Amino acid sequence: MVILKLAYRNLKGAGIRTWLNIFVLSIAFLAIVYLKGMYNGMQDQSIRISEDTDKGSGQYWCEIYDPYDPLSLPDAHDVIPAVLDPLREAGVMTPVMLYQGAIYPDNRMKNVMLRGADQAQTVMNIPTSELNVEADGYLPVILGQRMAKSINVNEGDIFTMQWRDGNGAYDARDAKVVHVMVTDNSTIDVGSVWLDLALLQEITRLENQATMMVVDKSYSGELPESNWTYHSLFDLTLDIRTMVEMKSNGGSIFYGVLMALALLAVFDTQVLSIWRRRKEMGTLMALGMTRLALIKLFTLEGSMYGIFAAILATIYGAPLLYLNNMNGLTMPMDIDNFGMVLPQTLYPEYSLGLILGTIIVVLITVTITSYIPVRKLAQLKPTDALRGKMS
Amino acid sequence: MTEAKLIHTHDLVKAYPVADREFVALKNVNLEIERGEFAGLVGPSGSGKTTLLNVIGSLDIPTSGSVTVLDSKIEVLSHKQAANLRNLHIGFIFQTYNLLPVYTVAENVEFPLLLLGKSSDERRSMVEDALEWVGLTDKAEMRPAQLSGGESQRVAIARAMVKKPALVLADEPTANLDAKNSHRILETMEKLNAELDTTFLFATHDEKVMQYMKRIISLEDGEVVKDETK
Repeated sequence: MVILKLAYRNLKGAGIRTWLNIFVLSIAFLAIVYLKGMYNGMQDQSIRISEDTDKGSGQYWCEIYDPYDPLSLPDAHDVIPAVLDPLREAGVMTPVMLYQGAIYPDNRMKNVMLRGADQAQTVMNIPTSELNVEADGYLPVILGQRMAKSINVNEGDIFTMQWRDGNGAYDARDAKVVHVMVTDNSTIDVGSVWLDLALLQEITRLENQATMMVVDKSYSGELPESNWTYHSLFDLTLDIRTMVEMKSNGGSIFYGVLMALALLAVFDTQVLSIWRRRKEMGTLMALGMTRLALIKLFTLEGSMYGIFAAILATIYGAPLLYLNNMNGLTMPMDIDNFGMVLPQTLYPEYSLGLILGTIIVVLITVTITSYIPVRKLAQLKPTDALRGKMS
Repeated sequence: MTEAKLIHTHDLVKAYPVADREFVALKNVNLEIERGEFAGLVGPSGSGKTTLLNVIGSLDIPTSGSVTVLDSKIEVLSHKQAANLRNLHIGFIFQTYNLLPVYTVAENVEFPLLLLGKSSDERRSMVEDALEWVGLTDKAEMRPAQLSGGESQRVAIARAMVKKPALVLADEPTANLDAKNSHRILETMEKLNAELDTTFLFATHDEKVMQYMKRIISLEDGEVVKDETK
């Protein structure tokens, strides 16, 4: 307790030097919390969007479907297993068919993924009910806003759509954009044309076939065994977690450098402090302080930079982080090209664990950094210290 | 602590390695100092005054021989025991005052009491008493940088005396002070010696200080050459 009191008095007495160190450390502290919070938010939001819009709580895939093998796509459809029908009829699952095709907006060809889904489905947060309209004999389709923008079409525009049916024969018809949907999930938007599953099955002559069955996110009941393979949301979002982890590791270098700079300041102050206060140390020993108490005092003085930095960071950082948490960070449109589910506006998530964890890490590193130059006091002779010498 | 002899040295030798040879700072010093004495170690620079003071104050250990201070044999004390002896029974006054610059006058005086684990109330009252002895009650909240040399040394005396130690060791306490302040400081210490029965041992070569000493121990080249009581 005495040591704590003395350390506090010494830091207070050191004035601007103390505050500069504390300020630098608090910036490092805040940067770590901010970046970590941003990555946590990015991951959670991306997973939530995926779950909400196309992955549900998981997906059954037909045997041939492999999203990482484009060559498998032409054959990635099969008859929906009968064992899944009860859950489909109960609205717990919905089939989706992925089929390659091409469109010709303004006489330019663009390869697209035709995505067939039930008009009445509620499993995916996609406005498929908009497909239930009379489209003047055209094929009614829905486009995402990014896709519509990239091919320069609007609601009501017509373009030619081409595909090969199940027998390999080319076929084409004009399609009409009946709705342009707004979604945070660019993977179901960019390069995709949504149409009614029954219609897609009809024009491709692949009746009762689909590529996958998406399970509702709220469904927690038993999942039947079938010849289609079940992939949980955890498996399906592995790419998101891997990417965020990779980004987070990259970020570690950034805040590692920041911390190193802040710790260098603390180290420097400690070395300088020991050098300048040799006589003071001799006096303290003459007054009855042991070498161990001296080591504790000087280490604690260094550690207290960490404690005060956490307090200072909370004072000026909490409102900043709160504002950032409320308004989010809007990303440039370029993120659409990442090929991953990334929301346009990222909202960081600051958990208690993250903040406490960061405080502990900062305190431990600051304490170690403070202790390293102080170790040599274990050999200090009071008479040398009083003469301003280091033993 | 009831024994009259506060300090006893027997064939005390202190040698330091200097380059490739040994410098003997104290040669077979035999000395006895009793409780309540007001004594001075005098001699020219390099005669061993400060070294003797440091050994008696358990800041250093003898190379050979024996030193007993308040029944504790300095040569066998561990670092912690030596710190404890200083903490409980010895007060130091230095030539350069050695006040802690970031503390106020009151905090400087309070410091030894913090190490002794005194309660807040006890500390407050003891600090008030100590500042009153040296006439600095009105400067309690000032920092050392705001004080004159004389005032700083009076704070150092208050710090040494606040715990009412059995022994106060003062190393050239007036070296940085003018005549007026020197006399004032010495009168203060003389008064405390009389009132609290604290033993004072000075290291000095200042004639002004010597006038006040009741016993003068002269050192030359590390040896006691004269020991006279007035």
